[in-house]
Amino acid sequence: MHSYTPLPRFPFCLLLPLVAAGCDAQLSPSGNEQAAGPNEPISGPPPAIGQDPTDPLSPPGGDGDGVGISRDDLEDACADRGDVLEVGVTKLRRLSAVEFNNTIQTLLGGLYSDYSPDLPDDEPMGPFVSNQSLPVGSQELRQYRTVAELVADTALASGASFLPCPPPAGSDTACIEQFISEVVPRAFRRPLEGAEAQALLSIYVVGRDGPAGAESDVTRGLHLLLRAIVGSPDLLYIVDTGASGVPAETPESVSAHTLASRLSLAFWNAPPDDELIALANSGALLDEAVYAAQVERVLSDSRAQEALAHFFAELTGIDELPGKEKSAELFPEFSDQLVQEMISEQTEFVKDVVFSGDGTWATLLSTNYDSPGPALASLYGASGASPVVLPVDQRRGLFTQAGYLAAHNKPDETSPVHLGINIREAILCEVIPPPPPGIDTTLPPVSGEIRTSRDRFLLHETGPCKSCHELIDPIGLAFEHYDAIGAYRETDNGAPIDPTGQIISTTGGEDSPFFTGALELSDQLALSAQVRDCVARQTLRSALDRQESILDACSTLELVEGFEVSSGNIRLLLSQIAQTSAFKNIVLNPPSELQQ
Amino acid sequence: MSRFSFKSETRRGFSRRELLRALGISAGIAPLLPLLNASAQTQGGSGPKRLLLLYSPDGIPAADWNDSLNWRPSGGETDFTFHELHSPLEALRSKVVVPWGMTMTVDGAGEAHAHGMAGTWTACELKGPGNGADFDGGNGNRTGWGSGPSVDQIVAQNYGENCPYQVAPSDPDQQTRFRTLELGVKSGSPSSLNRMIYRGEDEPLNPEDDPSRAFNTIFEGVSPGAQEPMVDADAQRRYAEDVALLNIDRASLNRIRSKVGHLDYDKIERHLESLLELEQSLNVPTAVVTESCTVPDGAGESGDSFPAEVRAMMDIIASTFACDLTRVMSLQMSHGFSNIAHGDWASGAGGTGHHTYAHNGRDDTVAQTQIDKWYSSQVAYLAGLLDSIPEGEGTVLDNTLICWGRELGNTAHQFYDYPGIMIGGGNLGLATGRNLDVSGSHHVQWLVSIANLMGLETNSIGNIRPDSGPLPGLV
Repeated sequence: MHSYTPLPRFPFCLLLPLVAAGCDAQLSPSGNEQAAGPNEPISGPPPAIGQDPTDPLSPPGGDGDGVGISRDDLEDACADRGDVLEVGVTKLRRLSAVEFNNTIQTLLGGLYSDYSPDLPDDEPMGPFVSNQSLPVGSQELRQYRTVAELVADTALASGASFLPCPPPAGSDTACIEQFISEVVPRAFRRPLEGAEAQALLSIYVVGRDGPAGAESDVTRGLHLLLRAIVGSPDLLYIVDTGASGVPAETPESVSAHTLASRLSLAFWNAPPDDELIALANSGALLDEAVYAAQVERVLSDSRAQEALAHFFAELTGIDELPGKEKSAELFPEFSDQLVQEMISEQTEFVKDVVFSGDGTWATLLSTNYDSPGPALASLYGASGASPVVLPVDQRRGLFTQAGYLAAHNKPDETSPVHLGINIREAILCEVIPPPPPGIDTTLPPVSGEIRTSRDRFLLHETGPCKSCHELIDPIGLAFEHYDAIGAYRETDNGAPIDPTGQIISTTGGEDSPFFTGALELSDQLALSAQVRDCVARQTLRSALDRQESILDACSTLELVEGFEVSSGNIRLLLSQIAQTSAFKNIVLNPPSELQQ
Repeated sequence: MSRFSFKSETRRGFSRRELLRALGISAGIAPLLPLLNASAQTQGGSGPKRLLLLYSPDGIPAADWNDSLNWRPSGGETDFTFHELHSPLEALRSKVVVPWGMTMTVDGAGEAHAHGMAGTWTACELKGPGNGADFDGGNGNRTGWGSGPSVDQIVAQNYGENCPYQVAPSDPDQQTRFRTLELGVKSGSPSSLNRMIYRGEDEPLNPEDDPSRAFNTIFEGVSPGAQEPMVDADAQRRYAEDVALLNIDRASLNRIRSKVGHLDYDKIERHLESLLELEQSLNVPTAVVTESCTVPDGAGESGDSFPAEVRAMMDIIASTFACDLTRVMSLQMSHGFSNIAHGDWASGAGGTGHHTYAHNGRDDTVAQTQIDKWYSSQVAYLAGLLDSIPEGEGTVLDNTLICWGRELGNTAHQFYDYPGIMIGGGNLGLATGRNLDVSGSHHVQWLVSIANLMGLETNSIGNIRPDSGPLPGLV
């Protein structure tokens, strides 16, 4: 047994400076020396948006962004910017695994295959992924080549059905040329240029003919051609271009093909379809009305529903549930089947609310899914009727779903700290620093008077722990009526549970009113302007596949305000993202003072 | 995915085709390369110098903040007894060095696991977010990547008479198929908590985590036991195809470079370098290398459990060295914050995750000790395997320096009393079989010593404590 020894007190647990920032330098008031660099994230304490009397977090008015530029000034600056385009720097990135899989399906048709076990792991960007930091080293190159070979094997195992024409015989290459000119642009997300088609045809011939004296083999030619296409840097890298065709030093609108590619990758996680490609080829996509209609078409497609469900899985961390272990002794019911039903519940719920229901954030946090699978319904103690009625005094929306809770709790006990941190980071856009060095983060064991999680967390209320844990623990402890796999419980180690708490403000505003349990906490999160601000930003980040920068401040502002005006309508948020300057414009070589 | 197991005691020639069949992989996917050359790469008749870095997660078990286990060996410098958690190394005691009393030279962003990982082999700071890298460095702390190369990469990029390699990395005629190989077991996605090997600033190297894929990559075309070089027409055709792909990719990258911002030029350059490295590896003659070169026996059942994959990777490492396919390797077992539950294979380790033991409010040093002891037994297995392969007058182990490190000193997130262990390397000048008091030293000195033993004349590694000089008393 050990004892907890308080350590030298750390003065403050400062929130990391994710400062909100103004527009770019020219728009900022002079003397604003605290402005972040162009690629620094500007999330965090949001500007106040209209004083909503029902807003539990009651953000302060006036200087809402914390760096000296007021919300009003930012609005004025953005309104006055006229024709000046603004957009953060676009960096080269590689397809994510899900984008890669969808690309292969677009290229070759057939059933969806998951190549992620063989692809290099995606790089995390907050809760999302964005492969823009690491280069392709030897290891990654080998993996991409192996996958290309695997795709070629798979495609040819069922004949050459991916060809748009009867497979060639002998030295005739007409069908190969047709395949290259019609199908390959789908995978490269642009028309072929210059000698590209010829180079690919040459690859086919190398594969078909082999060295002098070898036997000609059409299948081997196709195999090598597929290896070349699937392993190509042109498929792998997302190369966004501007209208001018040269890497721009000042922002300009994107090319029609880049617009099509951004649209489909952001909202489908897939390359453009034939309709988008045709409109990009003709240039018609650059017409505002045509573009707006395409945005609506893209968002009405079932692929948009899958992509949004994927976004929520990443945002809430439920995408990590399949790798989580739970104590088989304590939770024998935690089966693969149950995990699948948990994930499916969130997926179907999000799709239902956003695409078939009223589409609002508040509804996601205030209603329950009525068709959970049988194992999950049993976990919920729900009625066997259809639609399934969940106990309304136990469940309310996204964050009371068992999958969310199971994804963040420990194998054998709850984890209020992880739940509290996830809420703070994922939907309040705050960053909680780690324990200071030299802190023993060991909690006292359950013993004697110490029975519940809250009892064990008492020591967080003093000393160096307090300044962070007063932000984390009250939120996390609100979930104590759910066990490690998300089942409802009345007691914790036989003792009654006290799930009361409040959201301590980090923005200088007032703390929230007290809540009792996760249901009332969800009500507060449903109504919070800070949460809506954060959800809008997170959605933008996921769509842009990058952190927003100071140069995206006006786009972000527009989006956040639009999300307010629509009462948090997520479906509308998506179409508004497609209309932001950050989405439609590009800069690749900004002046050095605007680079990091 | 098909897996395989090895019969390491079986040192017989094994046909590549048999092996591929056993793995369920058609020869069409991985055809033979030409077998051109049957000469072994040796130096002075004893064998090449080699470096192997091993990593296991978390630190020495600690019950409380200032209550870490005293894991030092007992007894004298040459007549000593291992602590229980290192006891599986007993059979190799005469080839082990246990320097104790070092403090880790790590610093920077993220919490201790994160900058411990980034600094373990680099002695460089972990950077804050930037340059496109921005992720969780533990408990929500944002970090970027490390800021300098790890000692294995420094060693591999150098060349000279006393180094593992005598030719430059750019030389078209490489001595081995791979300049370095990075392997891992459940090493996690790319983030600062999960990466320890760095080629340079902002450039961590992802380890190969899949034993089947590692096996195919490393041993493609290696056909031990064959007595005569032979040329395979199919392999020649395959070679021509591979080269054609390299060239079309180069043309693509050069076109892409003209479209991207200059901030991305480095990425394009690195990709081009990777193509060059691949081409070099295609050109390295692979053959019956030495009589001690044996490729693992591919027949057997599967398993993707942690211990099964650790064992598979270790067998691959032994054969890779024995066949001289590379001279610089690393094996990362799990990652910072590892929460693998070891109870199913490590007696007494219980069913709780490794990292949770350090923080669950009980004194779990007993279970943690069993976890460490299990890792020791794995390290001992690998070292024993290398020691069973004759090379020159001694064994492969005598020409191979194994360094076993971790990202923390102890599980209370502290960096003092770092347990860095050395095994083998007797032919490199290391005085082995010793329990060595180096109190007051910094672990960067250990890294400098590693570089020195690998033939590099340097006093300095990393940017945290430059010019530290080597660890006293090793040679």
